Amino acid sequence: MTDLEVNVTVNGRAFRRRIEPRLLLSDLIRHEIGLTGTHVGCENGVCGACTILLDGLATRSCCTLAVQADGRSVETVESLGRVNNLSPLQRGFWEKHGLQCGYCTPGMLMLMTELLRENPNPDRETIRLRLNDNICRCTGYEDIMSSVERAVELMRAEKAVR
Amino acid sequence: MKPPVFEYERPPNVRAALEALSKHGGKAKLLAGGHSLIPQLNLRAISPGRLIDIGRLTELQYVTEDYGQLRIGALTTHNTIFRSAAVASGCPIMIEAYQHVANHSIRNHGTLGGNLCHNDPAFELPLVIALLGGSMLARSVRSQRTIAADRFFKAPFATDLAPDEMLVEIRVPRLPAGHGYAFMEISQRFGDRALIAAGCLLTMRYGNCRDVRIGFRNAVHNVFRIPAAEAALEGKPASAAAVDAAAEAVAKNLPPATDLHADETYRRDVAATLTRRMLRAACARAGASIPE
Repeated sequence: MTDLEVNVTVNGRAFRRRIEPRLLLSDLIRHEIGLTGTHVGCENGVCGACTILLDGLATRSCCTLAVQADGRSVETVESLGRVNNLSPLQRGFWEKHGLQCGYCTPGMLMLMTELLRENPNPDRETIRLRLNDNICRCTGYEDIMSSVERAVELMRAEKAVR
Repeated sequence: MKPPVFEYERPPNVRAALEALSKHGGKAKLLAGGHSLIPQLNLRAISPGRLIDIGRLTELQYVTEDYGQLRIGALTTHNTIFRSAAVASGCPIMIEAYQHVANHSIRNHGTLGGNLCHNDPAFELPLVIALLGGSMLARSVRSQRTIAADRFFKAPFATDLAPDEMLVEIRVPRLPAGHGYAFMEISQRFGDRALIAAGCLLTMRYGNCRDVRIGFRNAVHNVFRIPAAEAALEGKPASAAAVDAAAEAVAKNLPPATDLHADETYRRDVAATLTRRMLRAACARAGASIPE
């Protein structure tokens, strides 16, 4: 087995690593780059906890080899807000109790980041349909939908202020 | 789990990919979107010695219309096809089926060619391509050939492709406006593996159903069309009686399938119910609504 060099941009920063071809993108992000916000659930594409954006597209990083991300751009949950400065989407989850144990949350946030970029004003049904991608075993999803709706309001208010 | 050890290469074009495939033959697997292959690697269900990554070959990513058919590059992603205006107008059954294909994130990367080559007996698209009478263009360093859908989908998880052949293009006829179509499925949760997936196509000519095609997947067998059900409607006016006869024929002729999720009796019942629903929908779309 031959190691390969990959160049990946993660949250705007360029990284170069020598890796085994079998390394999963989720493990590159967590173990090689050290960003542990991306969670690994089922590791076979069912749960969506490991969702990141790859060139802007919601992607299951456990079903993607790190070499497939070579030369590409990755966004993880760390690209959103900080504890003292939450992004509108994170604030929506905080205000509307869109998480309980929080394990699925990074994946949920990245999945919804893609949705809100392509459609800044989704209705509840659109959010529900997209939520089909990821599994949450705590909330029953209703609060997650309310969180995303709240984020839409916050984003709209932010825009109005500007 | 993590994938087993393998060698990896990313050829720069189709030609180079075919050469790599010819050299490594049965020991190598093509990696397209990876959303069926990588879970299998993670589960250690397969352990190919080498992956040939064709996922970036943009020369096989296209949807074009010509001479009454759609030509779709094998590496076109599901979401690209799902959003294609050409597919929506020429093969609307494909769009209806796509609503059931995995989920959005997986459709971002999964490809039509990868889906068809995997030929999971719960997958929707092999059924749609078979119903449409589509054909597959396969290439190798030796030759190029066209394979009809009936021959291509050989068995669950198997196709007619030789170890050195690559599926490069899928061709489906564009159907005339006003044809009847419907695609429906029952799964435990929306987006999950289909317990029963069902599709039909027909046209109305002089008040009679013509060119009726009815097909299924039952998650177990490589099942496609059910000729006895088609015959129940072919050449007859759209009526509740004819639809019931087709549903009965489906229940009778669907190959028996029992797995963890559904037994044979349940599957037959669901298939008959879906037959009634989808034939009514298809007849209505063809302008021949059947009163309740």
